[in-house]
Amino acid sequence: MGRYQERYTRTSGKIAKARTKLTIASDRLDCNQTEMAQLQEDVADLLSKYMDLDLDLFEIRLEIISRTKRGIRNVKTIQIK
Amino acid sequence: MSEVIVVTSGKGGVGKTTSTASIGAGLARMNKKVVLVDTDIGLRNLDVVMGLENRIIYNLVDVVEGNCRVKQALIRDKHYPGLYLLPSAQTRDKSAVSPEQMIKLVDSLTQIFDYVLLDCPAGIEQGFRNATAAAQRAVVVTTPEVSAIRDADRIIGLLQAGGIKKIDLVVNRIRIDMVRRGDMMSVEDVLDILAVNLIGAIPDEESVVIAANHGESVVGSDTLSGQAYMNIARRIMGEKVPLIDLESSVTLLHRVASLFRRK
Repeated sequence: MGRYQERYTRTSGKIAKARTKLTIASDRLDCNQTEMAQLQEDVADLLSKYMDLDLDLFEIRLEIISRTKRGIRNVKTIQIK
Repeated sequence: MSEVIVVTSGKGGVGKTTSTASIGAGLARMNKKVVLVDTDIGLRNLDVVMGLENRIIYNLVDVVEGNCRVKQALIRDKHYPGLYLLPSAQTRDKSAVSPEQMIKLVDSLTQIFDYVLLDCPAGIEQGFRNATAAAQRAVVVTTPEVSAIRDADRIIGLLQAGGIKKIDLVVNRIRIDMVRRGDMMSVEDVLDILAVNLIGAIPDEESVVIAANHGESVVGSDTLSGQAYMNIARRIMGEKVPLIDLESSVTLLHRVASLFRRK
């Protein structure tokens, strides 16, 4: 059942988009993909210290908000969802 | 007031040269004087895409080195009287021209033409620096693939750091059937990731390949991609043209399928 659903919700287009976002985020932060994955894990660990999280149900996404204003171009903001 | 636009992508093979030729043809159809400059020294392509490969006498390097005047190297297009090509050299390498020489060359072209379109080589080395040094504006071409979008993101960063303020995006080779199935990123997905202004989306059509085989452009033909390129040319000129709804341009098969779905 789970597999059947996954086939229909996670299309290859969605996978491509998620991979592109992660790649670009790691490019911009100058931080490799394994470190990015480690960061995601650490964030999850940190959060579960303070709240009851079921990590199978929650997904942690790191996205760079690139709305930079002129003059502060090097400011990188990470949004965690 | 002439405008100098670089067409670039980072990744190779996404359709920079085809886009340059098509946008140039579109501008020429609007009665503008346009020159397309092939800045890929050592690997020239724009001449074959335009079908002008056997008319080349002088090239860009000859002009820069003073072997001929600019006007001697310009080749007029077969279809549009206002469209010209400045071909690249095939037997030289990237180091034959410096960014300063390119700026000087482009300056002399802006005296004659309304639009100067620079077809940039792939990569971010000297060829890229040469082409972008002289540009005021950029058109970044990408396809809905992870690798092409990643490179486009890098290129956009480099263009911004280089002081180019107006950057527009062309999303090329969209296959509506695959987007509909969820097996290809949509134009919206790409924009969501790159966050730059979209100037046009080109469907992946056989007509583009067929036109290139003939050394012609799809612009002016009765195809979606031809229309899409024509609209990009209009938008470059500052006209407000709505985007073509690629979703509604369904094939007969889809129309039949949707008939059944409605019931």
